[in-house]
Amino acid sequence: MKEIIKELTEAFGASGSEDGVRERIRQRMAGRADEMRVDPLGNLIALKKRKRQKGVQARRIMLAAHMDEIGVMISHVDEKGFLRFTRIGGVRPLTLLGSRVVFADGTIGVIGREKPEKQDEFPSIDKMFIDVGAIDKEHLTTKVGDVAVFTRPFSDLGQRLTAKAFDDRIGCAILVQTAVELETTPHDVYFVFTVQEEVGLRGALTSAFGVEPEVAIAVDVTTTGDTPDARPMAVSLGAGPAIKVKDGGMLAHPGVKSWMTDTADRLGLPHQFEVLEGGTTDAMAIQTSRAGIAAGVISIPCRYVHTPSEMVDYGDVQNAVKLLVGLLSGPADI
Amino acid sequence: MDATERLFKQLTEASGVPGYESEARAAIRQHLDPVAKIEQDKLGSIIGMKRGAADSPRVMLAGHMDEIGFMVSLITDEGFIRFVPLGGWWNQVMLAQRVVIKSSAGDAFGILGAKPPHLLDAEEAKKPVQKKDMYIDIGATSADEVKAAGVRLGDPIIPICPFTVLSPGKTYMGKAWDDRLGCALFIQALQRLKGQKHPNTVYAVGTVQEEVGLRGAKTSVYSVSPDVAVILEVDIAGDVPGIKPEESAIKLGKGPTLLLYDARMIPNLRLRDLVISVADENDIPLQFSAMGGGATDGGIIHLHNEGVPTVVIGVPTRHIHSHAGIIHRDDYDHALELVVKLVMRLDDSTVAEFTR
Repeated sequence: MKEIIKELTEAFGASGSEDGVRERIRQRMAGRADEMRVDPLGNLIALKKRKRQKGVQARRIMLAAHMDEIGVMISHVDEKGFLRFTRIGGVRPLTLLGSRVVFADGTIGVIGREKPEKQDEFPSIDKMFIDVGAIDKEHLTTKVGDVAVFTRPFSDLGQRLTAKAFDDRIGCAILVQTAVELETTPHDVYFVFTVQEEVGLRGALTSAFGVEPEVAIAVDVTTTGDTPDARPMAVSLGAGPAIKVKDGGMLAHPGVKSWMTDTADRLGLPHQFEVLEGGTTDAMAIQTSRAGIAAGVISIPCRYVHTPSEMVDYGDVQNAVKLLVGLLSGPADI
Repeated sequence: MDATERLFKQLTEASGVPGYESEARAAIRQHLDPVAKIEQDKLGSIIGMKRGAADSPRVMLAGHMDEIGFMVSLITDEGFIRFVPLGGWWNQVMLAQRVVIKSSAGDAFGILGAKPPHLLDAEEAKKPVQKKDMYIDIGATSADEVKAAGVRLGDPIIPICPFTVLSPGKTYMGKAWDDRLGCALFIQALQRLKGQKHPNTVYAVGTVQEEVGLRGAKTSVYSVSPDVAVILEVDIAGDVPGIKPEESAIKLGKGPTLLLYDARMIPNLRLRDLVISVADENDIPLQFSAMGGGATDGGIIHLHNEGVPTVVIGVPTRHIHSHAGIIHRDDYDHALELVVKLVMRLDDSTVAEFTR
């Protein structure tokens, strides 16, 4: 599974430019789904059809993981070929300085800054620029509107993994692996790889409308409280996938939450509960789609979210797959 | 004045703050009637349908009818009027401006009162006045006189700025370019498409209540259920003192703009690229803008149902969200050309390709 994780995290896919990620996922899902389609906003929707199982009521279940990652977009090019940019999603100045970014065509850029007013002052985004090593504006191929993302290779640290864009390629990888391991299911399971989550859950909104599920589970990352002097939070790397109770945008459906908890207990899988102060996931938009949908979230504990080097625990990832396979193999009566 | 200038005069001088768009809508209806089948949704947006050579794809051209303004919220005992802003106002562009209150008894003219400099102490002179402290003076000396003038709580208040052709000849000053210019574009686009075999059905939509949160877009897109949408808007011209090129590099007279990014929408990339090639093929100059802030009706429309491929085409405008903006005729003409040429290209297979 590490091979899928490496491939997906290293792919280019800022919000609105997810084509490359979608193609990779489409290839991985080929043969694992009965139907695949792309909706008008760009969401990839793969359906694995139900196989009747005695005594189990078939449900329409939507699994969602977002393909997009945070990035930057060129807003202005000056005479010398330096590029000013606006952010796509929650990019923080702190993580940009000294970083490298890569454009869709492979062009590499370095982030520089204007002279600070005071020593040690931290610059805001509008005081930074991207330098792609242009000799002058004439030789520059990069233009206004072009999009770049962090560039950073995937590294296997043994038990822990680090990469850019675990948010939320790890969710995509978990969905793909679940499709691989799930031989049959009594439900119609829609594996939905969404677009534009980082700019406001936009893909979840349209895909939930199209799929019209009865039950939905988003798989995404959550922050942790297990690093030096961290904001107190009862989520740690390695303690199992986190079952969301609440975040900044939703309360998980109690029925979905206990379905997850009971299944994890039954299978003897480690798990923890997540109460997140800020932030939210695709499940928020899905929950309020149409007449309302029972939705919950399986979160992968992740350190350093929205930086070029996010970190997850491989055991948490594998246990999330086991939990999903368990959930989809039995009754889903919420 | 030519037909376009007459249309600009009529549309920009019509009143229509959010929720009170009837006058602007009547003006738009007058021009759409001869070229389209008109409907109105239940929030007040106007929809003009023009069938071409095919029922599908359904192409939505949207501009919003509302303009920023105010509403009467309180009449003081002394006969002054307090107000709430409808849409985004910056307090520094408000003081001493002329406004008209559309009351039940007719027009009541007034100004936003400002303290004379003679009476300002040094501290006061440095600080911008807050909107909540501002008031409108319609020349009354008591609350009874205000009531006698027909002014009631809830009456709309509209900025005053007559349409003016400026000395260079190709630039125009007026209020409410945002977004009567978009309305002018869909009106003239339908006029130009008359008698042409455009391979689709066009829905020209004047939306209501954009300035208070894209509300008309929400209901009108439901009525139209488009396969593709083109939002017609103003864009922020940055070619004035105080705006750095990296804040906005858009210049008056250098062509319409294509919006690459805003706070609420990333355009469909294949539709975006089609706009660029249509502009190229027809020698239409095009500028590009990418803004971290701000949004258009596209923010709602592109998320309708399963999603709608959407782009925003803008006309550069100086001094938006104030009493008077300035636009350039060439930019408008080029935007119109671009919209018409684009619509001619939007057939079923092309539109299907956007979401393949």
